[in-house]
Amino acid sequence: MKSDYIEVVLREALTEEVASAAQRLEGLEERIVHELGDRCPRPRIIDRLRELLAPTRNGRIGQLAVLGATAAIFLSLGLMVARNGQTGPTLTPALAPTVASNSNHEVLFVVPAINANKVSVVGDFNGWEETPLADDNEDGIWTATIPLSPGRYEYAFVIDGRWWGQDPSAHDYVQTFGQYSSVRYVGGGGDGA
Amino acid sequence: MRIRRNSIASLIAALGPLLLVAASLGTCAQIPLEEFDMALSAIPMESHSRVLGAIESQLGAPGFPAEDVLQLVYRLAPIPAMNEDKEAILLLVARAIERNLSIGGLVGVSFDLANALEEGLPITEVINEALKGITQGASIAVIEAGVIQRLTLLREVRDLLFERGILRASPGAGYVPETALAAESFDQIVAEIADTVSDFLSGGGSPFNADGLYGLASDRLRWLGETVVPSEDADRVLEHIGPPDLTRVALAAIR
Repeated sequence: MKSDYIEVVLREALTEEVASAAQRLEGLEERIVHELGDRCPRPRIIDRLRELLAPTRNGRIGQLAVLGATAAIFLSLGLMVARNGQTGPTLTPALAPTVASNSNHEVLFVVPAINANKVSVVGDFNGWEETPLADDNEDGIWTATIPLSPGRYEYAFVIDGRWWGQDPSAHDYVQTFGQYSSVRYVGGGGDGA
Repeated sequence: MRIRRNSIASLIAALGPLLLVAASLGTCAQIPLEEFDMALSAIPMESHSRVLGAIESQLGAPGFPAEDVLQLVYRLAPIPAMNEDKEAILLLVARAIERNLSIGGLVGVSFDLANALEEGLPITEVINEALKGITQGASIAVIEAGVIQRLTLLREVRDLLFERGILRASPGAGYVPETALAAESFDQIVAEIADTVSDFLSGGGSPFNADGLYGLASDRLRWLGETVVPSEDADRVLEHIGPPDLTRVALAAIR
């Protein structure tokens, strides 16, 4: 009877923690991309993850709840990567590769690739020659800003020599020569710019 | 006497292939780099030194079609077209050389691109696809086939529009007849429709899925109509072509 009571209390506490952790994680990706768009200051993904994994007021239960929520995120990212059929030994994806653009049509390419040595973007805007992305503060978030006039652009990321053609934030995909490339519309209704 | 004649004949037979090899090697060696340099100078372009460097790296190498490459440069120079397009063709060859690909067939296809350029076809997207193939590491034969298919699509789409009375006004023409689109708009629309059909086919789409194909093309043109071509041009083209037309275009490309 006593152990039942403890179990109920424990379950309620866990549910509460998971709910609060989930709230904090809601929109995390968008917030990070938004901050990256501003580029000042650059977000520290590792710090954010470290913060999420830090002990909470409820001590051990809080850590477990946050760990559970973090595991869920990584599980969903894992499923997403599996869906794309692209996994690489050097990658520890924290977020999906993404692209954002502002009203000046400066397109920001962002790729989280924590263990990568070299990340580039190739596309019809650079003759499919590699434009390197930078990770100056070595937080695993690689970025490059490229000004593009309004139009339709195909692109892919090359991470340590490996082709990553399916950016989850792309407007469309095309498959040529057996590999996917992402499609981004810049200007007009394409990017809301 | 007969023995001596036979010996001479055998000697000639043995020397024949050797002379041929020597002659072909001699032909390669006979084209100095300066001749390429001079020929390339007729096409003002940023990539002059890159293209020349790529040629230099292979000049004299067995199997390098030096004469064909030189002829390609001569072929491109007088074409009344944008220098950027000519440069793109030469860069395609240079990129293939840099990747150590066998460029014999690609140079042949580059002559097809030159012909298309002379016809006034918008070949930028075709070259871009070939460059993408090189970056992806696709085989040169597949890239060549892709170029030929896309050139066919461009011609088919252009002819379809002509057939429907949609004409292309000459660049810089002061007066554009009512039945014509400005050259830039016409070219963009032709290129986009051809590209849509090509992507659809290479993604495994059936040419008989006419509605699917038309849907993709109209989405793309409508979007373009908001940004890079006048929307009335996009609408007008869409009013004059239908799903079966695109099936016909697609079938012509895979024939």
